Amino acid sequence: MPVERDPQEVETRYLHDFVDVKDACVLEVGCGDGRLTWRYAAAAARVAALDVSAWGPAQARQDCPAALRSRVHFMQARAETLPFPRETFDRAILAWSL
Amino acid sequence: MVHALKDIWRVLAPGGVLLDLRPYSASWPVEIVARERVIRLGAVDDSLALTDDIAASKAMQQVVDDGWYVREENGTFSYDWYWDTLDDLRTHVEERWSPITLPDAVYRRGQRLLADLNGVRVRVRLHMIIGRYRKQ
Repeated sequence: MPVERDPQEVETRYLHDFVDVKDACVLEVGCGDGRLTWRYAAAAARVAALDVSAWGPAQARQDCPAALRSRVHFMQARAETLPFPRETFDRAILAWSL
Repeated sequence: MVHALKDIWRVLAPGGVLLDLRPYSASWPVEIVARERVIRLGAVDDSLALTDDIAASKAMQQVVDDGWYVREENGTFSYDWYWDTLDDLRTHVEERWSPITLPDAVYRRGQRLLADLNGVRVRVRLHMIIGRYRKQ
């Protein structure tokens, strides 16, 4: 496993430059183990982060900081059949998933 | 891919924003970082990922052309991932980055060099595409 992923936080800067997640309801597709989720979730109102794998969301739930647990939900799901009603989210982040 | 983009469109609020963030194939450099020295070992082999990259870009273009989203901004950037050992890197590439591979020649060169160096790390510079799209 990598010991350090993007220590200069270049990806984080680009993410925040490109999309404002403050107080937004965010859908993240391809969350894996939550690597990217931790870089924006504190600013969002609510995050639904999903991945096709079972291990990713399971690991992310385990690692989720206590302060985020009520707002960030990890689940196994496919982007082609999202388990949400219409017009649920303000932002969607495709994270390495196209 | 297009089906996924259309279902994301469905769950986005009117005027909602889609961010597409993904790596693209560009022979990511593999390097040894030893204090102030950086030694280039070679590059990962991401040639088999090129087809996926092209398909992803085509899918985004299709949903723009079909009027589901408007492209607002896009760009590219690079950033680094570090591993303690070459074996850690190789394991990661095999388990997480398929179809990208670490060529044997790069691995062997790294092993030879690492035998003579202390306190080093292995680094890969990833190249990324980022794009912001707004729901129509």
